[in-house]
Amino acid sequence: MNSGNGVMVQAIGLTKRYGTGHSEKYAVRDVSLAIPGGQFWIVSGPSGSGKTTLLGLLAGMIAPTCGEVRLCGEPITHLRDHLRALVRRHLVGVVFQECALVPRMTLGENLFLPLVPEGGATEADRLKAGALLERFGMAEFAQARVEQLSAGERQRAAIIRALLADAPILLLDEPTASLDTENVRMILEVLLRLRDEGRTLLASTHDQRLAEHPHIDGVLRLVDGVLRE
Amino acid sequence: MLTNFLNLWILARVAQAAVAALLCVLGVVLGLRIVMRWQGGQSSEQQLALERQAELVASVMQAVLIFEVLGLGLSVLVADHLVGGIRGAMCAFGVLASTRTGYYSLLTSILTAVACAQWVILHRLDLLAPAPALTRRKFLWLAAVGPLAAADLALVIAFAYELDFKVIASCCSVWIDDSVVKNQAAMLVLSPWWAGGLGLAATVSGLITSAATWRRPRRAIALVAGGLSALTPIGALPAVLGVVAPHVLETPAHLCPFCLFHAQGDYIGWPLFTAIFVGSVTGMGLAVVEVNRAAIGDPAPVVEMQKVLGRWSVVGWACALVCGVAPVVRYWLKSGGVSVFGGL
Repeated sequence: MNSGNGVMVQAIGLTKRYGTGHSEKYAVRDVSLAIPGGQFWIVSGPSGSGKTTLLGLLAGMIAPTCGEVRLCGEPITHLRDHLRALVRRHLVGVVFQECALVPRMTLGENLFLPLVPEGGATEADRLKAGALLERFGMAEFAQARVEQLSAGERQRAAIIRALLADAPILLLDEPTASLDTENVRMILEVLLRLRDEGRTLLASTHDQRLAEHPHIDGVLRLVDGVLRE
Repeated sequence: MLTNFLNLWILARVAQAAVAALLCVLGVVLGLRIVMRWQGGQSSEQQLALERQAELVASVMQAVLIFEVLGLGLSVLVADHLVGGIRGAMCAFGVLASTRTGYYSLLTSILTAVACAQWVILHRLDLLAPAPALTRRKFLWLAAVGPLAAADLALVIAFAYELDFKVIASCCSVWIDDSVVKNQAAMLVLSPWWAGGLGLAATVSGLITSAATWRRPRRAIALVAGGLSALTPIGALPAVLGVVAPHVLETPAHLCPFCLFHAQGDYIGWPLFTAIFVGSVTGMGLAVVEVNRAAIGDPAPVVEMQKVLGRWSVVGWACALVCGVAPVVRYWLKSGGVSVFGGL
């Protein structure tokens, strides 16, 4: 899935501005970045620095004020909404900050929720989900309701759901927030394993344990929506 | 007369035309502003904002233009409902003929509806493309639709104003009797064999070329289907007047198309003319889509759109054929094989 020059996630002069006149606020300002395939990068910065907005822009979930996003070398900025959704579904797996799992549904039901627009889970999807649950040590929780899972288990469940579409790019928003050291280590291990399998990962965090980890390929520092070297 | 505008049917038609024309003109102004600043492919703030504006304006225009197409049906309905107020006018024919602008108004409504339908087809094609590719063409085409909508409104107002409910109008049979005496050439076109043959040939060729495009869209056949679909209504009209109407109304000299909208005509006019309209505009759309193939770039949306349009065109022409042939067959069965034209 690598593009010609190996860059999987690219932003060129990406800007997101909210409001106009006096209420105008730049969430992300003139951000340019290029993340090569098969690498794990971190976007670090304090709360409110624009990390979540940047991930939303890169995933095509937020429309930029100006600038361009390229995934696997393909520009997505001018794409129509339904095609951008299609690209997002097939190229990008997104793990949201609060995991975005439905508490009253079982873990299995949550995993197949993103497949509803495509007509629901097929037998192949069920087999793949079973294998992923097994691999991440979550098989025993398949029928458990999400509200019964711990924070670390929910985080792993969210990652499994993002992996179900076999997307080559994984964007994670604060994947280690509110996790204890043991769970951070476990999640990091999972993410590094995914990187080693060839996936491209970009995670936002204000957690220094993650940002300073020796196996991370690159760190981008975002302050007030502007990328600092 | 100004009091004519108090008639609810007239008021409805004028209101429909006024709202459509006003929004069309607004759409033209906004569209031209977008076109003037458009820089396709750029990711500047202005361009991204224009893309969102263009989508919004196009979505609104799509609804407006569908509304305008429905206005064509309303024109016939209004003229038909005014029959009771104008003595001597037995159907919409007499109402429209009682003013100088009646038929010009109807003709403009037909042209506006066709132009609007083609714009909607262009817009649907653009929506199938991965990124906006037809924005310029769409809004330039809208610039042509806008004046048509304005002309439609002006003629609807003129027609409504000119209506005189005190006048004694002529009905369709008076016009036909007059034509028989004065215009033998015109009546020759309406002779059953000639008109029937031409109508059948035109409709079947429209159907076959549309079906061919639907099955396997290719440039040449799509253009031919588009051209034939534009001409077929002209070829089918004499058949409707000269063959279908006499069989439906069971009178050899009753050639009025408007009487087909009445109970005495089994309301066959509604499905018949709707089918001709659908067959024609979707068939013309095949050529419109083909002409824009290069601008779209990706062949997949073009093929997808041509398959949809081809299918609808086939459905339209097939329904038109059924609505045209069924009354003839029914009459023949009912009369035990005796022709409605007697000596034929």
